[in-house]
Amino acid sequence: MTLFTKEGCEKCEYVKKYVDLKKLGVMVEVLSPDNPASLAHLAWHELVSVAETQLPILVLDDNSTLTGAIRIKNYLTAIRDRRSVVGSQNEFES
Amino acid sequence: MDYPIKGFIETSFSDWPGKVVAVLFLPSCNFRCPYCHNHGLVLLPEKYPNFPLQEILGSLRERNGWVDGVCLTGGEPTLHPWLPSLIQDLRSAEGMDPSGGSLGIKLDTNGTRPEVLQELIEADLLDYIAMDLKGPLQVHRYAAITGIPLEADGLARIQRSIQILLEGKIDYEFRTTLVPTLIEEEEVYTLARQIRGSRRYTIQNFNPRNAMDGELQRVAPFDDRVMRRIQERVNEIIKEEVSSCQLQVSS
Repeated sequence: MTLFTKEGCEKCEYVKKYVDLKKLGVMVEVLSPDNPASLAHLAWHELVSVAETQLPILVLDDNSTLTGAIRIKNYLTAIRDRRSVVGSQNEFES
Repeated sequence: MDYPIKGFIETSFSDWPGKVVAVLFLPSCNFRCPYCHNHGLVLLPEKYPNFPLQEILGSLRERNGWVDGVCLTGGEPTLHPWLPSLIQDLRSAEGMDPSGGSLGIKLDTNGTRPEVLQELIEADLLDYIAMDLKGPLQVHRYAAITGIPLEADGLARIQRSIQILLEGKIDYEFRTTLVPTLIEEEEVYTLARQIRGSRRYTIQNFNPRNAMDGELQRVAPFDDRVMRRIQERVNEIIKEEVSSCQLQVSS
Protein backbone atom coordinates (compact mmCIF):
# COMPACT_ATOMS: atom_id res chain seq x y z
CA MET A 1 0.00 0.00 0.00
CA THR A 2 1.09 3.54 -0.66
CA LEU A 3 -0.06 6.68 1.11
CA PHE A 4 0.35 9.88 -0.90
CA THR A 5 0.81 12.91 1.33
CA LYS A 6 2.37 16.37 1.23
CA GLU A 7 4.07 18.69 3.68
CA GLY A 8 1.73 20.84 5.76
CA CYS A 9 -1.29 18.60 5.14
CA GLU A 10 -3.23 18.34 8.40
CA LYS A 11 -5.30 15.38 7.24
CA CYS A 12 -2.12 13.55 6.26
CA GLU A 13 -0.71 14.19 9.73
CA TYR A 14 -3.94 12.92 11.27
CA VAL A 15 -3.54 9.54 9.56
CA LYS A 16 0.15 9.35 10.46
CA LYS A 17 -0.66 10.18 14.08
CA TYR A 18 -3.20 7.39 14.54
CA VAL A 19 -1.69 4.58 12.51
CA ASP A 20 1.77 3.01 12.60
CA LEU A 21 2.24 3.08 8.82
CA LYS A 22 5.66 1.48 8.91
CA LYS A 23 4.39 -1.48 10.92
CA LEU A 24 1.60 -2.03 8.41
CA GLY A 25 4.02 -1.86 5.50
CA VAL A 26 2.50 1.31 4.06
CA MET A 27 4.96 3.25 1.90
CA VAL A 28 4.62 7.01 2.32
CA GLU A 29 5.17 9.23 -0.73
CA VAL A 30 5.57 12.92 0.11
CA LEU A 31 4.50 14.86 -2.98
CA SER A 32 6.60 17.87 -3.76
CA PRO A 33 8.09 19.64 -6.80
CA ASP A 34 11.49 18.62 -5.38
CA ASN A 35 10.49 14.95 -5.47
CA PRO A 36 9.81 14.12 -9.14
CA ALA A 37 9.79 10.37 -8.39
CA SER A 38 6.77 10.80 -6.13
CA LEU A 39 4.97 12.81 -8.80
CA ALA A 40 5.74 10.14 -11.39
CA HIS A 41 4.43 7.50 -9.02
CA LEU A 42 1.25 9.55 -8.56
CA ALA A 43 0.86 9.91 -12.32
CA TRP A 44 1.40 6.20 -12.85
CA HIS A 45 -1.65 5.59 -10.65
CA GLU A 46 -3.53 8.29 -12.67
CA LEU A 47 -4.19 10.24 -9.49
CA VAL A 48 -2.76 13.66 -10.33
CA SER A 49 -6.12 15.36 -10.64
CA VAL A 50 -7.42 13.62 -7.51
CA ALA A 51 -4.40 14.76 -5.52
CA GLU A 52 -5.06 18.37 -6.53
CA THR A 53 -8.21 18.35 -4.36
CA GLN A 54 -7.88 15.40 -1.98
CA LEU A 55 -4.96 14.31 0.16
CA PRO A 56 -4.06 11.94 1.60
CA ILE A 57 -4.72 9.14 -0.87
CA LEU A 58 -4.23 5.52 0.01
CA VAL A 59 -3.48 3.15 -2.87
CA LEU A 60 -4.27 -0.43 -1.92
CA ASP A 61 -2.44 -3.53 -3.10
CA ASP A 62 -5.11 -4.16 -5.76
CA ASN A 63 -4.57 -0.58 -7.05
CA SER A 64 -7.91 0.65 -5.80
CA THR A 65 -7.84 3.92 -3.86
CA LEU A 66 -9.22 5.36 -0.68
CA THR A 67 -9.52 9.04 0.11
CA GLY A 68 -10.61 10.91 3.22
CA ALA A 69 -8.46 10.90 6.33
CA ILE A 70 -11.04 9.26 8.56
CA ARG A 71 -11.85 6.53 6.05
CA ILE A 72 -8.16 5.81 5.55
CA LYS A 73 -7.52 5.77 9.28
CA ASN A 74 -10.46 3.43 9.92
CA TYR A 75 -9.38 1.11 7.11
CA LEU A 76 -5.79 0.87 8.32
CA THR A 77 -6.86 0.51 11.94
CA ALA A 78 -9.08 -2.42 10.98
CA ILE A 79 -6.17 -4.07 9.20
CA ARG A 80 -3.92 -3.47 12.19
CA ASP A 81 -6.46 -5.00 14.60
CA ARG A 82 -7.01 -7.99 12.35
CA ARG A 83 -3.28 -8.62 12.13
CA SER A 84 -2.85 -8.29 15.85
CA VAL A 85 -5.54 -10.89 16.43
CA VAL A 86 -5.27 -13.54 13.74
CA GLY A 87 -1.84 -12.97 12.33
CA SER A 88 -0.03 -12.48 15.57
CA GLN A 89 2.52 -14.92 16.87
CA ASN A 90 0.74 -17.49 18.93
CA GLU A 91 2.34 -17.67 22.36
CA PHE A 92 1.41 -21.23 23.15
CA GLU A 93 2.51 -24.65 21.96
CA SER A 94 0.26 -27.56 21.19
CA MET B 1 -21.08 -15.18 21.68
CA ASP B 2 -17.47 -14.23 22.41
CA TYR B 3 -15.29 -16.81 24.10
CA PRO B 4 -11.98 -16.26 25.91
CA ILE B 5 -9.89 -18.01 23.27
CA LYS B 6 -6.33 -17.15 24.23
CA GLY B 7 -4.29 -18.62 21.40
CA PHE B 8 -4.77 -19.69 17.81
CA ILE B 9 -2.61 -21.71 15.42
CA GLU B 10 -3.98 -21.54 11.90
CA THR B 11 -2.69 -24.91 10.71
CA SER B 12 -1.08 -27.79 12.55
CA PHE B 13 -0.06 -31.13 11.07
CA SER B 14 0.84 -32.77 14.37
CA ASP B 15 -2.19 -32.40 16.62
CA TRP B 16 -4.60 -34.91 15.08
CA PRO B 17 -3.15 -38.00 13.38
CA GLY B 18 -3.69 -37.75 9.62
CA LYS B 19 -5.46 -34.40 9.69
CA VAL B 20 -4.67 -30.73 9.20
CA VAL B 21 -6.23 -28.74 12.00
CA ALA B 22 -6.43 -25.30 13.53
CA VAL B 23 -5.65 -25.17 17.23
CA LEU B 24 -7.54 -23.05 19.77
CA PHE B 25 -6.02 -22.54 23.22
CA LEU B 26 -8.53 -22.15 26.06
CA PRO B 27 -7.57 -20.67 29.43
CA SER B 28 -7.14 -22.09 32.95
CA CYS B 29 -6.34 -25.52 34.26
CA ASN B 30 -7.01 -27.51 37.43
CA PHE B 31 -3.55 -29.10 37.28
CA ARG B 32 -0.18 -27.48 37.96
CA CYS B 33 2.12 -29.87 36.12
CA PRO B 34 5.68 -28.64 36.73
CA TYR B 35 6.65 -29.39 33.12
CA CYS B 36 3.71 -27.45 31.62
CA HIS B 37 5.00 -25.29 28.77
CA ASN B 38 1.76 -23.27 28.43
CA HIS B 39 1.73 -22.09 32.02
CA GLY B 40 0.81 -18.55 31.00
CA LEU B 41 -2.59 -19.96 30.06
CA VAL B 42 -2.81 -21.70 33.41
CA LEU B 43 -1.55 -19.04 35.82
CA LEU B 44 -2.30 -15.71 34.14
CA PRO B 45 -4.89 -16.25 31.40
CA GLU B 46 -6.27 -12.72 31.80
CA LYS B 47 -2.91 -11.39 30.64
CA TYR B 48 -3.62 -12.57 27.10
CA PRO B 49 -6.09 -10.91 24.74
CA ASN B 50 -9.00 -12.90 23.39
CA PHE B 51 -9.00 -14.06 19.78
CA PRO B 52 -12.53 -13.20 18.55
CA LEU B 53 -14.29 -16.26 17.19
CA GLN B 54 -15.44 -14.39 14.09
CA GLU B 55 -11.82 -13.57 13.23
CA ILE B 56 -10.86 -17.21 13.68
CA LEU B 57 -13.74 -18.37 11.51
CA GLY B 58 -12.70 -15.83 8.87
CA SER B 59 -9.20 -17.25 8.88
CA LEU B 60 -10.56 -20.80 8.61
CA ARG B 61 -12.74 -19.83 5.66
CA GLU B 62 -9.63 -18.58 3.88
CA ARG B 63 -8.31 -22.14 4.21
CA ASN B 64 -11.57 -23.68 3.09
CA GLY B 65 -10.98 -27.29 2.10
CA TRP B 66 -7.50 -27.41 3.63
CA VAL B 67 -8.34 -27.55 7.30
CA ASP B 68 -10.08 -30.74 8.40
CA GLY B 69 -10.95 -29.67 11.88
CA VAL B 70 -10.20 -27.79 15.07
CA CYS B 71 -8.24 -28.97 18.07
CA LEU B 72 -9.41 -27.53 21.38
CA THR B 73 -6.59 -27.50 23.87
CA GLY B 74 -5.48 -25.47 26.84
CA GLY B 75 -5.33 -25.25 29.69
CA GLU B 76 -8.11 -27.69 30.37
CA PRO B 77 -11.02 -27.06 27.98
CA THR B 78 -13.58 -29.11 29.95
CA LEU B 79 -13.52 -26.60 32.83
CA HIS B 80 -15.62 -24.15 30.83
CA PRO B 81 -19.41 -24.35 30.84
CA TRP B 82 -19.45 -22.67 27.42
CA LEU B 83 -17.39 -25.44 25.77
CA PRO B 84 -20.44 -27.15 24.17
CA SER B 85 -21.62 -23.80 22.85
CA LEU B 86 -18.21 -23.06 21.34
CA ILE B 87 -18.15 -26.45 19.63
CA GLN B 88 -21.66 -25.93 18.29
CA ASP B 89 -20.61 -22.53 16.90
CA LEU B 90 -17.58 -24.12 15.22
CA ARG B 91 -19.65 -27.02 13.90
CA SER B 92 -22.38 -24.79 12.48
CA ALA B 93 -20.04 -22.25 10.85
CA GLU B 94 -20.77 -22.04 7.15
CA GLY B 95 -18.31 -22.04 4.30
CA MET B 96 -15.76 -24.32 5.92
CA ASP B 97 -15.91 -27.38 3.72
CA PRO B 98 -16.61 -27.56 -0.02
CA SER B 99 -18.46 -30.85 0.47
CA GLY B 100 -20.88 -29.18 2.84
CA GLY B 101 -19.65 -31.02 5.92
CA SER B 102 -18.71 -29.42 9.21
CA LEU B 103 -15.35 -29.08 10.92
CA GLY B 104 -14.11 -32.08 12.88
CA ILE B 105 -13.54 -31.42 16.56
CA LYS B 106 -10.69 -32.83 18.59
CA LEU B 107 -10.53 -32.27 22.34
CA ASP B 108 -7.41 -32.41 24.49
CA THR B 109 -8.20 -33.18 28.12
CA ASN B 110 -6.67 -34.26 31.39
CA GLY B 111 -9.73 -36.40 32.13
CA THR B 112 -10.77 -34.76 35.39
CA ARG B 113 -14.28 -33.98 34.09
CA PRO B 114 -15.68 -37.33 32.89
CA GLU B 115 -19.24 -36.00 33.00
CA VAL B 116 -18.30 -33.35 30.43
CA LEU B 117 -16.71 -35.94 28.16
CA GLN B 118 -19.81 -38.09 28.44
CA GLU B 119 -22.10 -35.16 27.68
CA LEU B 120 -20.08 -34.06 24.66
CA ILE B 121 -19.89 -37.59 23.26
CA GLU B 122 -23.61 -38.17 23.73
CA ALA B 123 -24.39 -34.85 22.05
CA ASP B 124 -22.21 -35.94 19.11
CA LEU B 125 -20.01 -32.84 19.52
CA LEU B 126 -16.64 -34.58 19.37
CA ASP B 127 -14.79 -36.61 16.76
CA TYR B 128 -11.56 -37.33 18.62
CA ILE B 129 -10.31 -37.11 22.19
CA ALA B 130 -6.70 -37.05 23.32
CA MET B 131 -6.47 -37.69 27.05
CA ASP B 132 -3.30 -37.18 29.04
CA LEU B 133 -2.29 -39.89 31.47
CA LYS B 134 0.05 -37.88 33.63
CA GLY B 135 1.55 -40.81 35.49
CA PRO B 136 0.88 -44.06 37.34
CA LEU B 137 -2.73 -44.39 38.49
CA GLN B 138 -1.91 -44.01 42.18
CA VAL B 139 -3.10 -41.02 44.17
CA HIS B 140 0.28 -39.97 45.55
CA ARG B 141 2.08 -40.37 42.20
CA TYR B 142 -0.60 -38.58 40.21
CA ALA B 143 -0.65 -35.76 42.77
CA ALA B 144 3.12 -35.37 42.63
CA ILE B 145 3.20 -35.19 38.85
CA THR B 146 0.19 -32.87 38.46
CA GLY B 147 1.22 -30.55 41.31
CA ILE B 148 -2.14 -30.60 43.10
CA PRO B 149 -3.48 -32.37 46.21
CA LEU B 150 -5.37 -34.99 44.23
CA GLU B 151 -7.62 -37.17 46.43
CA ALA B 152 -8.90 -40.68 45.77
CA ASP B 153 -12.04 -39.13 44.28
CA GLY B 154 -9.92 -37.16 41.82
CA LEU B 155 -8.15 -40.28 40.64
CA ALA B 156 -11.47 -42.08 40.34
CA ARG B 157 -12.71 -39.35 38.03
CA ILE B 158 -9.67 -39.80 35.81
CA GLN B 159 -10.25 -43.55 35.78
CA ARG B 160 -13.86 -42.95 34.76
CA SER B 161 -12.68 -40.83 31.84
CA ILE B 162 -10.28 -43.59 30.79
CA GLN B 163 -13.15 -46.06 30.84
CA ILE B 164 -15.35 -43.72 28.77
CA LEU B 165 -12.67 -43.57 26.08
CA LEU B 166 -12.05 -47.32 26.19
CA GLU B 167 -15.72 -47.87 25.40
CA GLY B 168 -14.73 -46.60 21.97
CA LYS B 169 -17.80 -44.58 21.02
CA ILE B 170 -15.49 -42.11 19.28
CA ASP B 171 -11.87 -42.25 18.20
CA TYR B 172 -9.29 -41.40 20.85
CA GLU B 173 -5.74 -41.66 22.07
CA PHE B 174 -4.05 -41.62 25.44
CA ARG B 175 -0.84 -39.65 25.87
CA THR B 176 1.90 -39.48 28.44
CA THR B 177 4.71 -36.94 28.55
CA LEU B 178 7.93 -38.56 29.68
CA VAL B 179 9.75 -36.24 32.07
CA PRO B 180 13.01 -37.92 33.14
CA THR B 181 12.86 -36.81 36.77
CA LEU B 182 9.13 -37.44 37.23
CA ILE B 183 8.23 -40.76 35.65
CA GLU B 184 10.06 -44.05 35.24
CA GLU B 185 10.09 -46.05 32.03
CA GLU B 186 8.66 -49.09 33.80
CA GLU B 187 5.74 -46.98 35.07
CA VAL B 188 4.82 -46.21 31.47
CA TYR B 189 4.63 -49.94 30.70
CA THR B 190 2.41 -50.43 33.75
CA LEU B 191 0.12 -47.71 32.43
CA ALA B 192 0.10 -49.35 29.01
CA ARG B 193 -0.94 -52.66 30.62
CA GLN B 194 -3.75 -50.90 32.46
CA ILE B 195 -5.20 -49.57 29.20
CA ARG B 196 -4.46 -52.71 27.17
CA GLY B 197 -6.69 -52.94 24.14
CA SER B 198 -6.85 -49.18 23.68
CA ARG B 199 -6.54 -47.79 20.16
CA ARG B 200 -3.55 -45.54 20.62
CA TYR B 201 -1.14 -44.63 23.39
CA THR B 202 1.30 -41.90 22.39
CA ILE B 203 4.46 -41.28 24.36
CA GLN B 204 5.61 -37.67 24.12
CA ASN B 205 9.05 -36.38 24.92
CA PHE B 206 9.45 -33.69 27.54
CA ASN B 207 10.23 -30.21 26.23
CA PRO B 208 12.31 -28.30 28.80
CA ARG B 209 11.88 -24.98 27.04
CA ASN B 210 9.54 -22.77 29.04
CA ALA B 211 8.71 -25.45 31.63
CA MET B 212 6.72 -23.96 34.52
CA ASP B 213 9.22 -25.25 37.08
CA GLY B 214 12.49 -23.47 36.28
CA GLU B 215 14.46 -26.43 37.63
CA LEU B 216 13.05 -28.61 34.86
CA GLN B 217 14.37 -26.22 32.24
CA ARG B 218 17.79 -27.67 33.02
CA VAL B 219 16.68 -31.29 32.67
CA ALA B 220 17.62 -32.98 29.41
CA PRO B 221 14.78 -34.75 27.60
CA PHE B 222 15.03 -38.41 26.64
CA ASP B 223 17.12 -39.38 23.64
CA ASP B 224 15.04 -39.90 20.46
CA ARG B 225 16.19 -43.52 20.17
CA VAL B 226 15.03 -44.21 23.73
CA MET B 227 11.67 -42.60 22.94
CA ARG B 228 11.24 -44.80 19.87
CA ARG B 229 12.07 -47.92 21.84
CA ILE B 230 9.60 -47.04 24.59
CA GLN B 231 6.89 -46.24 22.04
CA GLU B 232 7.44 -49.58 20.28
CA ARG B 233 7.20 -51.49 23.56
CA VAL B 234 4.04 -49.55 24.51
CA ASN B 235 2.49 -50.36 21.12
CA GLU B 236 3.19 -54.06 21.69
CA ILE B 237 1.59 -53.99 25.15
CA ILE B 238 -1.63 -52.25 24.17
CA LYS B 239 -2.09 -54.65 21.24
CA GLU B 240 -1.94 -57.72 23.47
CA GLU B 241 -5.14 -59.74 23.45
CA VAL B 242 -7.80 -58.74 25.95
CA SER B 243 -11.22 -60.26 26.45
CA SER B 244 -12.83 -56.85 26.96
CA CYS B 245 -11.42 -53.37 26.72
CA GLN B 246 -11.53 -52.16 30.32
CA LEU B 247 -9.26 -50.23 32.60
CA GLN B 248 -7.12 -52.76 34.49
CA VAL B 249 -6.90 -51.08 37.89
CA SER B 250 -5.39 -54.05 39.69
CA SER B 251 -2.17 -54.10 37.62
